[in-house]
Amino acid sequence: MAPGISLAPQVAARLAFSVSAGRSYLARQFTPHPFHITRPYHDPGDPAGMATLYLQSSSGGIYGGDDLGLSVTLDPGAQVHLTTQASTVVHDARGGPAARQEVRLEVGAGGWLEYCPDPAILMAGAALDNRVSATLAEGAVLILSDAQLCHDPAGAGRGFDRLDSELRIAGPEGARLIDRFDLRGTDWTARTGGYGCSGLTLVAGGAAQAGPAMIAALDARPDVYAGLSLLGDRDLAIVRFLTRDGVSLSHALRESWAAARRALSGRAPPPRRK
Amino acid sequence: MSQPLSLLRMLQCADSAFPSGAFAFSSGLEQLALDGQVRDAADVRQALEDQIFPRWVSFDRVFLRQAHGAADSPEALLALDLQCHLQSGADRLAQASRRVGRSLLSVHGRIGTPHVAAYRAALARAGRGDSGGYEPVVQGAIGAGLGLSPAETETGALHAVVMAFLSAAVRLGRAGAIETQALLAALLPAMARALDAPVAARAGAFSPLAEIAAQRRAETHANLFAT
Repeated sequence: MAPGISLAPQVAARLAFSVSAGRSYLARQFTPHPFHITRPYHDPGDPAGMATLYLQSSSGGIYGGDDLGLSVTLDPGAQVHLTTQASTVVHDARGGPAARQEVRLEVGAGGWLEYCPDPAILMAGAALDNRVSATLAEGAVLILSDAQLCHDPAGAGRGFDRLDSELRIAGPEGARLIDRFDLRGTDWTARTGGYGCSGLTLVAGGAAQAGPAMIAALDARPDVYAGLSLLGDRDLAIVRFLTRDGVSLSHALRESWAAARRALSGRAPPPRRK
Repeated sequence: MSQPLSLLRMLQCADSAFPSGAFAFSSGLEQLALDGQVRDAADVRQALEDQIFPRWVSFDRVFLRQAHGAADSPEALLALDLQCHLQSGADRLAQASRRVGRSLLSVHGRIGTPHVAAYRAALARAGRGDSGGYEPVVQGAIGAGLGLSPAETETGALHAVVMAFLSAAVRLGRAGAIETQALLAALLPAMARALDAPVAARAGAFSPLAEIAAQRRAETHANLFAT
């Protein structure tokens, strides 16, 4: 077997949400190890009927050679906030195969999906292929976060091995965005200008309202270096941000999401307990 | 084509006097300077080496090379342009790339460079007059039209992007004219090594500092540059 290539079969989890009497619910689930989920709940501070679900891992993170797939489907009109209990640790691959994580999101007509995982912590030596794709039907809304930070527990300045990342967004008309990079850990500091943490929050559907709100929220924080890209022809708003530490990164993720929600629904979301 | 003739054509296109409009853009340098991220010539060199140069190698160069090979097919160029559009998620950098690309198309259309008229017509037919015309795709098509090799076309393009950045650094007062020439001389070996290396199989870029800087540029301020 060639180095860096895993032939293990993908462990694939599936979550499907439907709507009944105006309430979104988890209609079907398949969550093999290491996937684990909490019971969905409805918060009165969220848009009526929105379900919140926490993704968890029973394995303590992602390991070299893992091949994990997650498929999330929302029926028309379903509204879901999907997050994680904590950051996902991507462990040292020790020179072996990279871990692979593939997330596929499908949002039905008029649906609303917030996919807001906590950051991936790229440990020294970690190697990750990360694929996220979202397909939106007519009138669907997506708020999506993606963030990474580096950590070397030995404090020896050793970075992760590599991060191969691809984010694809498609609407009913076809592809809207392909955000792709392949980065060696040794290049992280140069590319980020010395910042330890990087992230983005993307809104598809209502970008013109959400974009300015997100950047206003981030510009109010001196510990966040952020910029807004407004792709009006594709109804996409993307705020990218760099921070010095994980606490600031979490603030940037939370506040950009909250600002987008407030701009699109007229109401700030209740905080998620983690 | 004889080598002197192709070199002369490459020099003509890469010269700052050629009306491409590229020198109206600082690739985020103006905002990096305003934000205190770039203060002097050493910072200019670091920004060039860490942000601008890698981005061109891993992103622009890939589209340029593919366009060079597809220059006689307007439909193939259109497909590359659309792919470049989809992969351009930083709005200000995308606008800059399209403005320079369309300016190059306009000038080369007037001087009769092969492939250009057919590509412009294809862009217009596809309704991509405003959302298309990305610079690396145009550069590849023009290089092929002028009879330049892929390596010559890439050399001219990389020279142009580095010179535009250094010119911006001088105009922003972050480096002196002599300093930037010394800086360029020091960078040339690395540029040559990059041009000798194989072209990446697929385009991609991770340069968040420069992207964020380009997006932070306030519309209301009096700016020297468009990015």
